[in-house]
Amino acid sequence: MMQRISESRQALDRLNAAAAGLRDHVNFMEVCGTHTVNAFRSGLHSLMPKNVTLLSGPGCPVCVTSQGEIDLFIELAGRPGITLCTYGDMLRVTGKAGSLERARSRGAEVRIVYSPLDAVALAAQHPQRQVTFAAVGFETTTPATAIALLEAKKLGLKNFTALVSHKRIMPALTALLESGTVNVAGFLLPGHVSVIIGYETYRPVVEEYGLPCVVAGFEDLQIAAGLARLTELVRDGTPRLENWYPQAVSAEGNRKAQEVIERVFEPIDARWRGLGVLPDSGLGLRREFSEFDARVRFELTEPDSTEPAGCRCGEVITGRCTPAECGLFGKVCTPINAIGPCMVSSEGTCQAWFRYRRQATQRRSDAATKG
Amino acid sequence: MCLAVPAQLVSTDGDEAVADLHGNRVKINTLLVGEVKIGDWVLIHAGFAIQKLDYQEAQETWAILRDVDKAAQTVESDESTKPRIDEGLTR
Amino acid sequence: MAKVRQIMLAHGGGGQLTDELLGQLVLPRLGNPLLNELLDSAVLDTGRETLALTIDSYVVQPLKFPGGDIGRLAVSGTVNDLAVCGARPLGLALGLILCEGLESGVLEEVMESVARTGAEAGVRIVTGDTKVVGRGQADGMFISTAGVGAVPDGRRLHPDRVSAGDVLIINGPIADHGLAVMLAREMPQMASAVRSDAAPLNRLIEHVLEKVDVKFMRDPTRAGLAGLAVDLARRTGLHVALDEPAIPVRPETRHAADMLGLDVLEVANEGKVVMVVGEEDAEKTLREMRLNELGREARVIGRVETEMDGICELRTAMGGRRILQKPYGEQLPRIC
Repeated sequence: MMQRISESRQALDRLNAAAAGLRDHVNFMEVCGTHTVNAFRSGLHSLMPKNVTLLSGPGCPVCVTSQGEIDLFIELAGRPGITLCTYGDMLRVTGKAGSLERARSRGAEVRIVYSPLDAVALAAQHPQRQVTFAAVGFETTTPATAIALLEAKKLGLKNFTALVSHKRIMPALTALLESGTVNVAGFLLPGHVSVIIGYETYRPVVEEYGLPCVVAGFEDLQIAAGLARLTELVRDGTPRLENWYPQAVSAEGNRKAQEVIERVFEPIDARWRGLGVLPDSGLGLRREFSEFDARVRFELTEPDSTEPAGCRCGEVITGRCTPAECGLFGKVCTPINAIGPCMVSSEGTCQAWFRYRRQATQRRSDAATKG
Repeated sequence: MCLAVPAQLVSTDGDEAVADLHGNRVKINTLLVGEVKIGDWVLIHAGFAIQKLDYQEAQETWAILRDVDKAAQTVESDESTKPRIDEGLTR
Repeated sequence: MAKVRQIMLAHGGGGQLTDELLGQLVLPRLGNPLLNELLDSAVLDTGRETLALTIDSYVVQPLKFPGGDIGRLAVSGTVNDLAVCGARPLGLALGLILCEGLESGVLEEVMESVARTGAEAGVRIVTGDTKVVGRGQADGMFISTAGVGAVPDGRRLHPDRVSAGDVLIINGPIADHGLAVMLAREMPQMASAVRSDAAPLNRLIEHVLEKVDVKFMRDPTRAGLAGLAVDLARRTGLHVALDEPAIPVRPETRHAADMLGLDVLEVANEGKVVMVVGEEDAEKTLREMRLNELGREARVIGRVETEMDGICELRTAMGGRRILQKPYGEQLPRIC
């Protein structure tokens, strides 16, 4: 522990030294909910140099899920005879009809699982119940769902389905950059998504947009070191793609995992909160697996997405405004009474700000928007 | 996202293995990482090993960091090494 | 604050939602100066002596878990609530609610555990009640334990005695109980090394109280150490700073928490006490605690500072800071 702490301090010193060499204020963006949470929990935000800001992007899979899709999960859970299995992350997200948590308190069968294979096992053990798995997450999590579906097919289960809402990170990054509305000098890239997709996936960010990118792990030290490196790359005017999580991330990623995703899913257009519909940004089940598609089996149609009035989650997760700049933040919208998913989700930017960082100075929020 | 933690394999059995996290033993699925053996370090996520870990690589990378500042500070040491606290956090 | 309409599991978590439940539905009808203190026991001055009275209900699932069972909890929890108010336990009252279909062997084991834990604490069950409810209504068994104790003259533990400069001392590592129970309940694919710390602390506490004028004590149960520290800051109106690297956590506990995305500061403990003592008493408190088996790993984990802001802050391992909040109410494993 002692050594890790001293290494973190070294990384901070390096970050500060690099920041001292910057001409202007810079914003970096991370696109991973776990980076959002860990950066706050480690106290890193309280230690950042004054001229460097770390913004949160669309990295929380729950936060980027459209309101309509969230309503679908809750509606399904409320139907008799259905057991909805979900990761804990989804339990408190609110839709028009409340949340899965509230649905559970009213009698809906909602089960928290650690692995999608638990949902498959549950279905196998209770053939008289319909078991649906809420398949949410980015590429780190998608392979697990894929294996679960292959297992369900092998077992010939007639009572297992998945309500698929998986997303792909690269189309969101591209959309952000194309929009020109977000002012970032570089990206802190998600370590575990990169384990699956490989760091070469991000090459276009550097080559077409000239922005430095650093793949970083999730420990305090790794996040600080990643930021230090990004700051150096900006200071030196050398936009490069660097991998600072080499023990887990390679250039091509996990081929096996990519193959299994390919086998079960195909890219589809998907609606992202704050970004609209992005082509090929989501995943849908291939035809051979449509018997396991909850949308097909239960004839689900996604309701229209209407954001709650005054909610600026879409802008928050695309780095266009800070939580403090949303009129609802901390007043009407709190972790207990959350309006939007950014406040409900344990990885949401708004909840992270509320829990770990009470007041943002005006200077800091000004800097974040004008960059 | 996402939450994944490193663990060492203590037994293997076909597509499954048991990983050790400081004494906790978890059964995981190894289909995403292929051939594994006892003693391998893997990254675990949602009940699956999603990558085999290479710590040799990591050691070399962090050596670059250590070159920057040779003076190691410990957490108990003097006030002068405490980093600046951002004003934004005060009440 | 939104109106509580229907009770959810999180309302029983001891966190923010429990506060809402009490504040909206219970206290408005029952509130009185004694109840409103909302400390671990009610302290009653009879004129001749000072008594402490407490009650706790135990609804843990599964009934048995590594390190203990519902019986051990039922004694430890109530004894500890008395002890942290400075009371010497006089006797416990045990209310059993049994579920139709419960195996008699299970009940026997639980009673055995109650007896054993009682003997450890030197406290007896002096009265009780038994009811049976229909199949499926009580998850096997629920237990309610009331306890009464005597507070020696001259002893007073209360948040109004806390002042700037005081330190917070804990008797050992955190998060073991909550994690042991959650893993046993939710993770069949794991053989966890985490064991509940459930234990009666009255002997440890009495020993320290004989030597040190402790100002205030609480046990960090459902809402974890974070819940305790945030409450302390709010109650006293002072600034409480916890020192993250100083907070003891067993490696197996930390790694299991990491895997599930849980914050150890928010996980329940059932064999821990946090004492607030004057800075000048810190060394002596540590020494006396460490003489007891349940206090071997006692550490100073924080201090009370001068700012009158009622905020609890964590000084992180990295040298940064973040404000602590009371947890929502339900510990949920996450993958993201």
